[in-house]
Amino acid sequence: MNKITKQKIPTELGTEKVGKLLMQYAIPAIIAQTAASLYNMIDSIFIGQGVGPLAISGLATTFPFMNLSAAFGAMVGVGGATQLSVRLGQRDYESAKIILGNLVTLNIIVGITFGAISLMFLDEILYFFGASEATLPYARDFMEVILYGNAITHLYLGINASLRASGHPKESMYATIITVIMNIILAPLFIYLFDWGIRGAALATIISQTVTLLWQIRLLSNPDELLHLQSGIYKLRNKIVKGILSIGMSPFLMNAAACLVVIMINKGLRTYGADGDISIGSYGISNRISFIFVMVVMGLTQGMQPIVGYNYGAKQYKRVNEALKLTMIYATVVVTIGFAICEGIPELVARAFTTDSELIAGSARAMRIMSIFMPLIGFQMVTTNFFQSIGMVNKAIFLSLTRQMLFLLPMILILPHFFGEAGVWYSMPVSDFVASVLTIVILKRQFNEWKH
Amino acid sequence: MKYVISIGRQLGSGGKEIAEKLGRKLNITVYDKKLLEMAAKESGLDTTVFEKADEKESDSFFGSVMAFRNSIADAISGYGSCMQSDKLFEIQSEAMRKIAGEESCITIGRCAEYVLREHPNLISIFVTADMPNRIRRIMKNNNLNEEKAKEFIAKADKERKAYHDYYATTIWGDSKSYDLCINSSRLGIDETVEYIYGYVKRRLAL
Repeated sequence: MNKITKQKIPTELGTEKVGKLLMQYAIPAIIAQTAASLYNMIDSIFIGQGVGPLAISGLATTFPFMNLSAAFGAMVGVGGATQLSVRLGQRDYESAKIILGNLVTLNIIVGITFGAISLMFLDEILYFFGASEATLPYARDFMEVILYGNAITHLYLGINASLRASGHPKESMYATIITVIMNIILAPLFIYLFDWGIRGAALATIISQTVTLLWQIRLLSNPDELLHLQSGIYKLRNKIVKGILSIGMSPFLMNAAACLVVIMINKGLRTYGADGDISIGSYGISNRISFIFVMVVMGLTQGMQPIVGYNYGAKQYKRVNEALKLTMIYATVVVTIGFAICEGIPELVARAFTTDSELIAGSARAMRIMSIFMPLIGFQMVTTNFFQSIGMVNKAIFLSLTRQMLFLLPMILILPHFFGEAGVWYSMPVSDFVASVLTIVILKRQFNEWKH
Repeated sequence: MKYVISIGRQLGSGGKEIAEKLGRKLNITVYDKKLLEMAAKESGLDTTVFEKADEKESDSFFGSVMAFRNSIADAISGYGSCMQSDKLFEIQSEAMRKIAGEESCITIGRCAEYVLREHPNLISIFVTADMPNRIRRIMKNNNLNEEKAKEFIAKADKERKAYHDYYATTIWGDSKSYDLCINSSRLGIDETVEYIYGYVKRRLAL
């Protein structure tokens, strides 16, 4: 009747071949992780080719906006899903239902509030995020549609997190994939056939999410499911809301930090760039590309986590080592492919997004600089997640923050003073490099400690 | 007839001593954190054994800080990946339910009044004490000066509440969450034990 009953930790984690396990656990994670970024890339291609180079640049100024919206969505979604899984672990279905209902209500409230406030100050915010008079119309057209549908986006993500937490990881993955595929079909239809421009791309996103949301709701309305939507669960409860917000605070901060980084980069490029729009557009394109490889590595490390966690607990350190090494090798292969593409054929890649020669040249240059130390970040990310898998959460958080915040932000602020626009670009690989060296040092120290 | 007595307590309230004396009187086992962990391991439930080599977590292992750090880590590695302390709580709860299903016993802490809420003969108790008594007890048991003992108590109160309220739907130390709340400073430890013993007998109509 239900799939919520005890998800046993399979003992195969301690016996099956590590390489086989890694594939088995990593592939679904990689699909889930890359689906969204793959979609973002394809969307950018449609917009770049179908609408024009300024649209690409306008789109790039909406990235921090999307991050910020995701931050609020994640706050409610992660907070709610976490509580949900604790309740389900206690087989406390009554409380779990109320959490699900509260999550839905909160998603709607936060989604609508964020959308409404953002719509009120849309132009101001977009200028602040790096838009120019030339790119603002595109950014505005895109964001308007996205913001009107903001509550739907939040609800879709929140319910998907709940599905995952309630023993439906497959359905949650399907939801992601369906949304992406629908998007890829609708976006060109709206942009090319209906000639709706960048609005069409945004509309495709919202429509796909709406359809998926309806499917999710139908799935969760089945009264045979122990956890299902029903009346009487939507009224907000003080304790649950507090719990959701306090747990959700950290994912919120992580996303908000990502938003801040992109704003700083956009602002740096606007201030120091010869042509700010071209520079920001170039960043948008290179960001889309490098993100895909980062997301594949993210999926790999997620696949590694249960294997390392289990075997570390079972004191099978040989298997821990093997899993770590193997993941590092795979991750390094992935980012090295990314490195080869970004260094070797960046013009070709950029051409997929635009026909504008300036934007192609700018993007190629950006990719070449940004990916200088890309082969190192596979190792860096795997190590970060390794520490998390074995319960050393402080180290994991610290290492993750170094690459994405602690080293990056000061560099973005300082380097341009000396090197101008190049300083903004170089801040990214320099931060990658410093973080990677630090990671090697910390990992080495840890292994030495274990030897004693 | 099998029954369970869950005892929640403020640090330094003598709750543990009360539990032990009550256990001897009723001739049933008292499960504290250590015994529960052992039981979880022996039962084979604790297959993942979350050994914390780092971070010196001991008692502050849980609590709001832990939840906070965990969810940051979760945010790094993608949403909703399983949190280790949540899993550990689940395993311990499972062990607790198993024990409570097999024998009469006393449990100390671990949100037992919530975890065992469906047990037909659950008697839930919360023990408090006056601050001066708590401080004196902690100074003596942990060999601390007054200042340090106060700090220790304040920290433990915060952590226990955070841990409890994160994992349970009931509220830590709230009279609505328990059958019986008692201040051990009023009657003293031994008399409090007697009082609870009488209450238990009445409840079970022994």
